[in-house]
Amino acid sequence: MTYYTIVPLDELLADGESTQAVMLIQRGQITMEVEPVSGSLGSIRRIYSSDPEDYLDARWQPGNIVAIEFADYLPK
Amino acid sequence: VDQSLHYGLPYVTWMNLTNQQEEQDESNRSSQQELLQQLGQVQTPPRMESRIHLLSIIGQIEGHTLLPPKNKTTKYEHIIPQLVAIEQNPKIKGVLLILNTVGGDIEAGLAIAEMIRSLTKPSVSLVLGGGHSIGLPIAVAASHSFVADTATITIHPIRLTGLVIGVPQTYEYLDKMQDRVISFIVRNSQVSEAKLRELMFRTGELVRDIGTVLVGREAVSVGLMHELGGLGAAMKRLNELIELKEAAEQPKPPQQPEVTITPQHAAPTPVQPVYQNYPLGYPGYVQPNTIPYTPGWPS
Repeated sequence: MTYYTIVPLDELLADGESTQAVMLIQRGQITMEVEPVSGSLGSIRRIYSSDPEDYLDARWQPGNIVAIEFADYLPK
Repeated sequence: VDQSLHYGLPYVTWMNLTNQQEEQDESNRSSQQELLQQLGQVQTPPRMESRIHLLSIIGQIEGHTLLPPKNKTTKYEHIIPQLVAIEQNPKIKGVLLILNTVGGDIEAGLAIAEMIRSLTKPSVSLVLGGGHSIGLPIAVAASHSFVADTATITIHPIRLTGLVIGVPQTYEYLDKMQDRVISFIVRNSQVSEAKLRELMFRTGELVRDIGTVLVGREAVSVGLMHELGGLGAAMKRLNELIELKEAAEQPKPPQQPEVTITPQHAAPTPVQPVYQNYPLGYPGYVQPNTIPYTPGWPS
Protein backbone atom coordinates (compact mmCIF):
# COMPACT_ATOMS: atom_id res chain seq x y z
CA MET A 1 0.00 0.00 0.00
CA THR A 2 1.39 3.37 -0.89
CA TYR A 3 0.35 6.25 1.29
CA TYR A 4 0.98 9.89 0.63
CA THR A 5 -0.02 11.62 3.81
CA ILE A 6 1.52 13.80 6.47
CA VAL A 7 0.09 11.62 9.23
CA PRO A 8 2.79 9.22 10.46
CA LEU A 9 1.98 5.69 9.38
CA ASP A 10 2.11 4.20 12.89
CA GLU A 11 -0.49 6.74 13.92
CA LEU A 12 -2.56 6.32 10.77
CA LEU A 13 -2.84 2.56 10.98
CA ALA A 14 -3.05 2.19 14.76
CA ASP A 15 -6.34 0.76 15.99
CA GLY A 16 -8.07 3.32 18.10
CA GLU A 17 -10.86 2.66 20.55
CA SER A 18 -13.67 1.02 18.63
CA THR A 19 -16.43 3.44 17.89
CA GLN A 20 -20.07 2.52 17.63
CA ALA A 21 -21.24 0.90 14.45
CA VAL A 22 -22.33 3.29 11.76
CA MET A 23 -24.87 2.47 9.08
CA LEU A 24 -25.05 3.92 5.62
CA ILE A 25 -28.62 4.54 4.51
CA GLN A 26 -30.07 6.08 1.40
CA ARG A 27 -32.81 8.72 1.40
CA GLY A 28 -33.58 9.88 -2.10
CA GLN A 29 -30.34 11.16 -3.63
CA ILE A 30 -28.57 11.43 -0.31
CA THR A 31 -26.42 8.79 1.31
CA MET A 32 -26.19 9.33 5.05
CA GLU A 33 -24.13 7.91 7.83
CA VAL A 34 -26.35 7.19 10.81
CA GLU A 35 -25.55 5.85 14.23
CA PRO A 36 -28.34 3.53 15.38
CA VAL A 37 -29.84 4.69 18.66
CA SER A 38 -32.46 1.98 18.73
CA GLY A 39 -33.57 -0.74 16.36
CA SER A 40 -35.62 1.61 14.23
CA LEU A 41 -34.11 5.03 14.87
CA GLY A 42 -30.76 6.47 13.95
CA SER A 43 -28.94 9.72 14.58
CA ILE A 44 -27.44 11.37 11.51
CA ARG A 45 -23.68 11.78 11.63
CA ARG A 46 -22.89 12.95 8.18
CA ILE A 47 -24.50 13.14 4.77
CA TYR A 48 -22.86 12.57 1.42
CA SER A 49 -24.18 14.72 -1.37
CA SER A 50 -22.71 17.07 -3.90
CA ASP A 51 -25.80 19.30 -3.88
CA PRO A 52 -25.20 22.16 -1.41
CA GLU A 53 -28.98 22.47 -0.95
CA ASP A 54 -29.06 19.12 0.82
CA TYR A 55 -26.88 20.54 3.57
CA LEU A 56 -29.39 23.35 4.17
CA ASP A 57 -32.27 20.92 4.61
CA ALA A 58 -33.28 20.99 8.26
CA ARG A 59 -34.24 17.33 8.19
CA TRP A 60 -30.71 16.17 7.42
CA GLN A 61 -28.78 18.14 9.99
CA PRO A 62 -26.23 16.10 11.98
CA GLY A 63 -27.77 14.76 15.16
CA ASN A 64 -31.29 14.55 13.75
CA ILE A 65 -33.15 11.32 14.20
CA VAL A 66 -34.28 9.38 11.16
CA ALA A 67 -36.29 6.20 10.93
CA ILE A 68 -34.28 3.15 9.95
CA GLU A 69 -36.32 0.80 7.87
CA PHE A 70 -36.10 -2.91 7.37
CA ALA A 71 -34.75 -2.34 3.86
CA ASP A 72 -31.79 -0.40 5.30
CA TYR A 73 -30.58 -3.53 7.07
CA LEU A 74 -30.55 -5.54 3.86
CA PRO A 75 -27.23 -5.84 2.05
CA LYS A 76 -27.04 -3.34 -0.80
CA VAL B 1 -71.27 4.01 -16.02
CA ASP B 2 -73.20 7.14 -16.65
CA GLN B 3 -73.06 7.59 -20.40
CA SER B 4 -73.74 11.32 -20.07
CA LEU B 5 -70.28 11.96 -18.52
CA HIS B 6 -68.25 11.27 -21.66
CA TYR B 7 -67.89 14.98 -22.40
CA GLY B 8 -68.18 14.19 -26.08
CA LEU B 9 -65.13 11.91 -26.01
CA PRO B 10 -65.24 8.34 -27.29
CA TYR B 11 -65.96 5.96 -24.42
CA VAL B 12 -62.52 4.21 -24.58
CA THR B 13 -60.60 7.53 -24.46
CA TRP B 14 -62.70 8.70 -21.56
CA MET B 15 -62.04 5.47 -19.65
CA ASN B 16 -58.27 5.77 -20.27
CA LEU B 17 -58.28 9.32 -18.99
CA THR B 18 -60.10 8.44 -15.80
CA ASN B 19 -57.83 5.45 -15.21
CA GLN B 20 -54.74 7.61 -15.65
CA GLN B 21 -56.11 10.09 -13.14
CA GLU B 22 -56.79 7.32 -10.64
CA GLU B 23 -53.30 5.91 -11.08
CA GLN B 24 -51.78 9.34 -10.54
CA ASP B 25 -53.83 9.85 -7.38
CA GLU B 26 -52.76 6.42 -6.17
CA SER B 27 -49.05 7.10 -6.75
CA ASN B 28 -49.31 10.51 -5.06
CA ARG B 29 -50.99 8.92 -2.08
CA SER B 30 -48.32 6.20 -1.79
CA SER B 31 -45.42 8.67 -2.10
CA GLN B 32 -47.03 10.82 0.57
CA GLN B 33 -47.43 7.77 2.77
CA GLU B 34 -43.76 7.00 2.19
CA LEU B 35 -42.77 10.54 3.17
CA LEU B 36 -44.93 10.32 6.27
CA GLN B 37 -43.35 7.03 7.26
CA GLN B 38 -39.79 8.19 6.63
CA LEU B 39 -39.89 11.75 7.83
CA GLY B 40 -43.00 12.09 9.95
CA GLN B 41 -44.32 14.80 7.65
CA VAL B 42 -46.06 15.00 4.32
CA GLN B 43 -44.74 18.24 2.92
CA THR B 44 -41.12 18.72 2.03
CA PRO B 45 -39.64 22.22 1.91
CA PRO B 46 -39.27 23.78 -1.53
CA ARG B 47 -35.79 23.47 -2.94
CA MET B 48 -33.67 25.90 -4.82
CA GLU B 49 -31.94 24.34 -7.81
CA SER B 50 -28.24 24.91 -7.45
CA ARG B 51 -26.18 25.03 -10.64
CA ILE B 52 -22.97 24.70 -8.67
CA HIS B 53 -22.29 21.48 -6.82
CA LEU B 54 -19.84 21.00 -4.04
CA LEU B 55 -17.37 18.27 -3.14
CA SER B 56 -15.64 18.45 0.18
CA ILE B 57 -12.43 16.46 0.46
CA ILE B 58 -11.69 16.12 4.15
CA GLY B 59 -9.51 14.04 6.43
CA GLN B 60 -7.78 11.02 4.95
CA ILE B 61 -8.41 9.96 1.39
CA GLU B 62 -9.35 6.32 1.68
CA GLY B 63 -8.54 3.84 -1.04
CA HIS B 64 -8.39 0.07 -1.17
CA THR B 65 -7.96 -0.46 2.54
CA LEU B 66 -10.48 0.62 5.13
CA LEU B 67 -8.67 2.84 7.59
CA PRO B 68 -9.16 2.39 11.33
CA PRO B 69 -12.44 4.00 12.46
CA LYS B 70 -10.81 6.88 14.32
CA ASN B 71 -9.75 8.37 10.98
CA LYS B 72 -12.10 10.78 9.31
CA THR B 73 -12.09 9.81 5.68
CA THR B 74 -13.16 10.82 2.21
CA LYS B 75 -14.08 7.68 0.39
CA TYR B 76 -13.25 7.01 -3.21
CA GLU B 77 -16.53 5.17 -3.76
CA HIS B 78 -18.51 8.22 -2.66
CA ILE B 79 -16.63 10.84 -4.65
CA ILE B 80 -16.32 9.07 -8.01
CA PRO B 81 -20.08 8.42 -8.55
CA GLN B 82 -20.80 12.02 -7.54
CA LEU B 83 -18.35 13.26 -10.16
CA VAL B 84 -19.99 11.05 -12.79
CA ALA B 85 -23.41 12.41 -11.81
CA ILE B 86 -22.11 15.99 -11.99
CA GLU B 87 -20.67 15.38 -15.44
CA GLN B 88 -23.93 13.88 -16.70
CA ASN B 89 -26.48 16.25 -15.19
CA PRO B 90 -27.13 19.14 -17.60
CA LYS B 91 -28.47 21.31 -14.77
CA ILE B 92 -25.10 21.27 -13.00
CA LYS B 93 -22.79 23.84 -14.53
CA GLY B 94 -19.75 23.76 -12.27
CA VAL B 95 -18.07 22.14 -9.28
CA LEU B 96 -16.51 23.72 -6.24
CA LEU B 97 -13.95 21.58 -4.42
CA ILE B 98 -13.23 22.36 -0.81
CA LEU B 99 -10.07 20.71 0.44
CA ASN B 100 -8.95 20.23 3.98
CA THR B 101 -7.05 17.00 3.82
CA VAL B 102 -3.96 15.39 5.29
CA GLY B 103 -3.44 13.15 2.27
CA GLY B 104 -4.04 9.44 2.02
CA ASP B 105 -4.02 6.63 -0.47
CA ILE B 106 -2.04 7.56 -3.56
CA GLU B 107 -4.12 5.55 -6.04
CA ALA B 108 -7.46 6.85 -4.79
CA GLY B 109 -6.12 10.41 -4.64
CA LEU B 110 -4.77 10.29 -8.18
CA ALA B 111 -8.03 8.70 -9.40
CA ILE B 112 -10.06 11.57 -7.93
CA ALA B 113 -7.59 14.10 -9.35
CA GLU B 114 -7.80 12.59 -12.84
CA MET B 115 -11.61 12.56 -12.68
CA ILE B 116 -11.67 16.26 -11.75
CA ARG B 117 -9.14 17.16 -14.42
CA SER B 118 -11.13 15.39 -17.12
CA LEU B 119 -14.48 16.98 -16.22
CA THR B 120 -15.87 19.00 -19.11
CA LYS B 121 -17.49 21.41 -16.64
CA PRO B 122 -15.54 24.17 -14.92
CA SER B 123 -14.14 23.32 -11.51
CA VAL B 124 -12.58 25.54 -8.87
CA SER B 125 -10.67 24.24 -5.87
CA LEU B 126 -10.22 26.01 -2.59
CA VAL B 127 -7.64 24.80 -0.09
CA LEU B 128 -8.62 25.74 3.45
CA GLY B 129 -6.70 24.64 6.50
CA GLY B 130 -4.49 22.15 4.75
CA GLY B 131 -4.11 20.47 1.41
CA HIS B 132 -1.23 18.17 2.14
CA SER B 133 0.45 15.39 0.21
CA ILE B 134 -2.06 13.76 -2.17
CA GLY B 135 -4.41 16.70 -1.57
CA LEU B 136 -2.13 18.80 -3.79
CA PRO B 137 -2.75 16.87 -7.05
CA ILE B 138 -6.49 17.13 -6.33
CA ALA B 139 -6.20 20.87 -5.76
CA VAL B 140 -4.25 21.52 -8.96
CA ALA B 141 -6.57 19.27 -11.02
CA ALA B 142 -9.32 21.90 -10.97
CA SER B 143 -9.61 24.49 -13.73
CA HIS B 144 -8.67 27.20 -11.25
CA SER B 145 -7.18 26.79 -7.78
CA PHE B 146 -7.41 29.01 -4.74
CA VAL B 147 -5.58 28.78 -1.46
CA ALA B 148 -6.60 30.56 1.70
CA ASP B 149 -4.06 32.92 3.22
CA THR B 150 -3.61 30.70 6.27
CA ALA B 151 -3.83 27.32 4.55
CA THR B 152 -0.77 25.10 4.39
CA ILE B 153 0.40 22.68 1.74
CA THR B 154 3.00 20.09 2.70
CA ILE B 155 5.08 18.62 -0.09
CA HIS B 156 7.08 15.55 0.86
CA PRO B 157 8.10 12.14 -0.53
CA ILE B 158 5.64 9.22 -0.53
CA ARG B 159 5.84 6.29 1.88
CA LEU B 160 5.37 2.57 1.48
CA THR B 161 3.76 0.20 3.97
CA GLY B 162 3.96 -3.55 4.23
CA LEU B 163 6.92 -5.72 3.41
CA VAL B 164 9.76 -3.66 2.05
CA ILE B 165 12.65 -5.60 0.58
CA GLY B 166 15.98 -3.87 0.94
CA VAL B 167 17.04 -4.02 -2.69
CA PRO B 168 17.71 -1.24 -5.21
CA GLN B 169 14.51 -2.21 -7.07
CA THR B 170 12.49 -1.01 -4.08
CA TYR B 171 13.95 2.43 -4.50
CA GLU B 172 13.25 2.36 -8.23
CA TYR B 173 9.62 1.39 -7.55
CA LEU B 174 9.23 4.21 -5.03
CA ASP B 175 10.79 6.63 -7.48
CA LYS B 176 8.29 5.56 -10.14
CA MET B 177 5.39 6.11 -7.75
CA GLN B 178 6.86 9.48 -6.84
CA ASP B 179 7.09 10.45 -10.49
CA ARG B 180 3.36 9.82 -11.00
CA VAL B 181 2.57 12.49 -8.45
CA ILE B 182 5.25 14.92 -9.61
CA SER B 183 4.32 14.67 -13.28
CA PHE B 184 0.63 15.19 -12.51
CA ILE B 185 1.32 18.33 -10.48
CA VAL B 186 3.74 19.71 -13.08
CA ARG B 187 1.28 19.11 -15.92
CA ASN B 188 -1.57 20.84 -14.12
CA SER B 189 0.11 23.81 -12.48
CA GLN B 190 2.68 26.48 -13.24
CA VAL B 191 5.45 24.98 -11.11
CA SER B 192 8.56 23.58 -12.82
CA GLU B 193 9.63 20.01 -12.18
CA ALA B 194 13.02 21.08 -10.83
CA LYS B 195 11.39 23.48 -8.36
CA LEU B 196 8.87 20.86 -7.19
CA ARG B 197 11.60 18.27 -6.66
CA GLU B 198 13.66 20.81 -4.77
CA LEU B 199 10.68 21.56 -2.48
CA MET B 200 9.93 17.87 -2.02
CA PHE B 201 13.41 16.80 -1.04
CA ARG B 202 14.41 19.83 0.99
CA THR B 203 15.83 19.05 4.40
CA GLY B 204 15.62 21.05 7.59
CA GLU B 205 12.03 22.27 7.27
CA LEU B 206 10.01 19.34 8.60
CA VAL B 207 10.70 17.76 11.94
CA ARG B 208 10.03 14.11 11.13
CA ASP B 209 10.29 14.16 7.38
CA ILE B 210 11.97 15.83 4.46
CA GLY B 211 10.00 18.29 2.37
CA THR B 212 8.50 21.74 2.62
CA VAL B 213 5.49 23.42 4.15
CA LEU B 214 4.08 26.19 1.97
CA VAL B 215 1.76 28.69 3.61
CA GLY B 216 -0.88 30.45 1.47
CA ARG B 217 0.92 32.96 -0.69
CA GLU B 218 4.10 30.85 -0.91
CA ALA B 219 2.10 28.21 -2.79
CA VAL B 220 0.96 30.92 -5.22
CA SER B 221 4.46 32.39 -5.64
CA VAL B 222 6.03 29.03 -6.59
CA GLY B 223 3.24 28.53 -9.12
CA LEU B 224 1.38 25.64 -7.51
CA MET B 225 -1.88 27.50 -6.96
CA HIS B 226 -3.42 30.14 -9.18
CA GLU B 227 -4.60 32.64 -6.59
CA LEU B 228 -4.90 33.54 -2.97
CA GLY B 229 -8.52 33.78 -1.91
CA GLY B 230 -11.52 32.48 -0.07
CA LEU B 231 -15.05 31.34 -0.74
CA GLY B 232 -16.25 34.56 -2.36
CA ALA B 233 -13.36 34.74 -4.80
CA ALA B 234 -13.70 31.04 -5.63
CA MET B 235 -17.44 31.34 -6.35
CA LYS B 236 -16.90 34.46 -8.43
CA ARG B 237 -14.22 32.74 -10.51
CA LEU B 238 -16.40 29.65 -10.94
CA ASN B 239 -19.32 31.75 -12.17
CA GLU B 240 -16.98 33.52 -14.59
CA LEU B 241 -15.71 30.18 -15.92
CA ILE B 242 -19.29 28.94 -16.33
CA GLU B 243 -20.24 32.06 -18.27
CA LEU B 244 -17.15 31.77 -20.47
CA LYS B 245 -18.00 28.17 -21.24
CA GLU B 246 -21.62 29.01 -22.00
CA ALA B 247 -20.56 31.86 -24.27
CA ALA B 248 -18.19 29.55 -26.13
CA GLU B 249 -20.98 26.98 -26.57
CA GLN B 250 -23.51 29.49 -27.95
CA PRO B 251 -24.17 28.75 -31.61
CA LYS B 252 -22.60 31.52 -33.65
CA PRO B 253 -24.86 33.39 -36.12
CA PRO B 254 -24.12 32.36 -39.71
CA GLN B 255 -21.64 34.81 -41.10
CA GLN B 256 -22.42 36.60 -44.35
CA PRO B 257 -19.82 35.80 -46.98
CA GLU B 258 -17.65 38.79 -47.52
CA VAL B 259 -18.19 40.36 -50.97
CA THR B 260 -15.64 42.63 -52.52
CA ILE B 261 -17.32 45.16 -54.74
CA THR B 262 -15.86 45.10 -58.18
CA PRO B 263 -16.90 47.59 -60.91
CA GLN B 264 -19.14 44.89 -62.41
CA HIS B 265 -20.97 44.35 -59.09
CA ALA B 266 -21.23 47.98 -58.15
CA ALA B 267 -24.64 49.59 -58.39
CA PRO B 268 -25.01 51.56 -61.61
CA THR B 269 -24.67 55.29 -61.15
CA PRO B 270 -28.17 56.80 -61.13
CA VAL B 271 -29.15 58.42 -64.38
CA GLN B 272 -29.53 62.12 -63.82
CA PRO B 273 -32.70 63.43 -65.46
CA VAL B 274 -32.00 65.89 -68.18
CA TYR B 275 -34.04 68.84 -66.96
CA GLN B 276 -34.15 70.40 -70.38
CA ASN B 277 -36.37 67.48 -71.48
CA TYR B 278 -39.00 68.35 -68.87
CA PRO B 279 -40.88 71.54 -69.41
CA LEU B 280 -41.79 71.68 -65.71
CA GLY B 281 -38.20 71.52 -64.64
CA TYR B 282 -38.81 68.22 -62.86
CA PRO B 283 -40.72 65.15 -63.95
CA GLY B 284 -44.27 65.24 -62.66
CA TYR B 285 -43.94 68.48 -60.74
CA VAL B 286 -46.77 70.89 -61.30
CA GLN B 287 -47.14 74.06 -59.37
CA PRO B 288 -50.81 75.00 -59.15
CA ASN B 289 -51.98 78.16 -60.85
CA THR B 290 -48.66 78.85 -62.42
CA ILE B 291 -47.72 78.90 -66.02
CA PRO B 292 -44.98 76.41 -66.35
CA TYR B 293 -41.76 77.95 -67.54
CA THR B 294 -40.54 76.42 -70.68
CA PRO B 295 -37.28 77.70 -71.97
CA GLY B 296 -37.81 79.28 -75.30
CA TRP B 297 -41.66 79.25 -75.09
CA PRO B 298 -43.49 81.52 -75.72
CA SER B 299 -40.94 84.01 -76.83
